[in-house]
Amino acid sequence: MKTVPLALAAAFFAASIAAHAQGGPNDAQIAAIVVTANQVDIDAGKLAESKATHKDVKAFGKMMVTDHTGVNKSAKDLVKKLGVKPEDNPTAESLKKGGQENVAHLKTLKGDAFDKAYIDHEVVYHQQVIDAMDNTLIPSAHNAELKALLVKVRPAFVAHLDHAKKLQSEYGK
Amino acid sequence: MTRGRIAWVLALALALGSDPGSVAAFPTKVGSDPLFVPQASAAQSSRPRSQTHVVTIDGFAFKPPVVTVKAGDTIEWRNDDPVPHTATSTSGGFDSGSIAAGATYRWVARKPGRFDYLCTFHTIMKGTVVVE
Repeated sequence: MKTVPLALAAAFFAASIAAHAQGGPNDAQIAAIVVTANQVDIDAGKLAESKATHKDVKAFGKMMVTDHTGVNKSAKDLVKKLGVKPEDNPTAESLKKGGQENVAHLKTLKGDAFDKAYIDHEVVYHQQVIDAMDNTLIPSAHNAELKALLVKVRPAFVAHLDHAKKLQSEYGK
Repeated sequence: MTRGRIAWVLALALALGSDPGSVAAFPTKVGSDPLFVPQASAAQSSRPRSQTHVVTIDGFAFKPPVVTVKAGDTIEWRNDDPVPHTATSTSGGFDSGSIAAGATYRWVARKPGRFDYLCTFHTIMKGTVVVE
């Protein structure tokens, strides 16, 4: 039951990324996807910062807020500089929807159950974003600076995934 | 006092980013005065008293991951990432605390030794300073 929102979010995300397959998203759409992907994780991180039980999980939530805010600032600055207006699209929409569902689900949980669900989602979420970056966003990015930004921030998601997996092995049982 | 002042001037010259080769404030005419030659060539062959080594933090990595320096040298970490990082030695020595995006942290390596360090926020990020 608990895994349903996660599976749904993953399915939506995969389907919407596939919907872009023909030609891939344009730069304006990529900008919207990047900003949304960061915002979704900021929202979940804020919740974890206040609701998580384990100190490490709380600290992880706080770091997600800090890091994704930083990444989003650099993305927004670049988008502004390039004069690109982020354009809504199915992938950004599904990310947003998935994020809202995740937060709604997490709000129903307490204690260890919250920590476990939050970390489990973080693992899946970061893996999805990395896959989307590698398979769709980076190859599709037309503007060289946008592509460079994606390549530059990719390791952030890798570091977070690695960290989330470590927490999962401690608190995910 | 005088030595201290000279060291300070040299450190300032280095900090201002001048070419280490041009540190000598008063150019000596090498070879023009036979009495001066040994001293001048000794000064020429010796390394500047202290150097600054830059480690760039970029793409969640310390670049270069290993720096070898002489005691007295300065290591400067420049955070080129959009998120904060730390450079924290696991064996004592230095701990930058949070280095904000675009900020720098400097540490003067006083004692020889090997200092493995990491970013305490993102422990996947590791580096080493070797002080000779």
